[in-house]
Amino acid sequence: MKKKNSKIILFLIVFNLLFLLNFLTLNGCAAVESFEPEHGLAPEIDGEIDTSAKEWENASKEEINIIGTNPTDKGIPTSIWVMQNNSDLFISVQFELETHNPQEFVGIMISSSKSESNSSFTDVKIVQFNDLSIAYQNYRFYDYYVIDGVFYLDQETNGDGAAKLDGNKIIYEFRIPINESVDDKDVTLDFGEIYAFKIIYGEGSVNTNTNKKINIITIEIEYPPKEPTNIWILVHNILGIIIFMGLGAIFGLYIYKIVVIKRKYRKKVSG
Amino acid sequence: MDDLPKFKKHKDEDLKQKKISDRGSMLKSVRISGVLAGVFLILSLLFNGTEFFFEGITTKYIQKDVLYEILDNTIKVSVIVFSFVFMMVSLGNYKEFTGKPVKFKEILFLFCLSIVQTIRSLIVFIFTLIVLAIVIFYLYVIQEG
Repeated sequence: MKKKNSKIILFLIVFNLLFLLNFLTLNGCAAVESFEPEHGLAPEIDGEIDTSAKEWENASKEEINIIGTNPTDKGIPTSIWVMQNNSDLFISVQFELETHNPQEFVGIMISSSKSESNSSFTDVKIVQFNDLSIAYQNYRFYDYYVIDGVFYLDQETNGDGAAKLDGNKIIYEFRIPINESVDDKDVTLDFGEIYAFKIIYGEGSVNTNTNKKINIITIEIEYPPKEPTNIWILVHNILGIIIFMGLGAIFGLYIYKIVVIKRKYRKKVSG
Repeated sequence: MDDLPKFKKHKDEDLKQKKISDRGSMLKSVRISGVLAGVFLILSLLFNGTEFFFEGITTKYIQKDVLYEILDNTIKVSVIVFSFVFMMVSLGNYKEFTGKPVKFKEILFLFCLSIVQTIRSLIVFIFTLIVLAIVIFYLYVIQEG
């Protein structure tokens, strides 16, 4: 009886461990939001949201908290806007800070799949400020790749990024190409696949930054919407097929008549 | 005086030979213009009957521009008109070969076959109609002349 009980307990422990493993993410934190972005008009990547031009109108908008490694860190409440078109994925990161670091940056680390382990995030797009103040906003867009946690500059830039500070609120905008990579250092985003994206906030250089805060989201790259079949085009197509088939048949008959008359003529001449 | 029937016989043979040669070149013209009409009919199928039509070959592959749109429509109209002209020439020679004149209803039939190819565009229809009317009028004037 004692042996039987210990077997049951052992089974329960193993089962529990297996169950818990499902929720465990190696070397990282689990995604806080999952996006299924809608297709829309491509916004201009300039750090500004032009509502009159209906920029980001179709974006999926969620609030997340970008948090640091320190458990007491309250993090930065951040708005994440995601949308796409047939060629690009667009991500906007927006937050307010009482004082912005003059050398702050926001990066989008792209995982090669939906895996959220640190080693999966190999491609990074960063907008880095050199000097951030209301009067002077000097930034650059960088494309990095990551090997063993070290960021290396990718000479072939793929994508685009911009930022603008307005009061205390800063808006970062990113454009990441879909189905396209300049070199093997870029992650190629495919339609219908889910990818994990790490949003990073940092101050200073990307490799030696301080006050680093991160969070993870997942985005499913949606296929381009199928355009509804236009009945008029369908009718035109069918009529076009019928007409040109008819024309072909008439022309074939005419060619046959020419061949017949040619034979008759040859017979007549030789006879 | 004995040479006269011989001369007449020679003349008849020459005339017969010339007639055979004329009929041979007529048949050749029927074939060549028929083949050319077929080539333009296939081109018309490509330009006016396939998906190329919706975007246009030049506007799809070269540049989306008003000038290229005009070029696209010009190509579409031209292939139909050339197909009509070569078919007309072929049919004319064919009829002459068989010893019958081309009837007006046959010209009208060819005209309808050409116009029906413009089903997908009003612009192509209008311009083809104008050009074909000019071509038929020109052929009528030549015939009358």
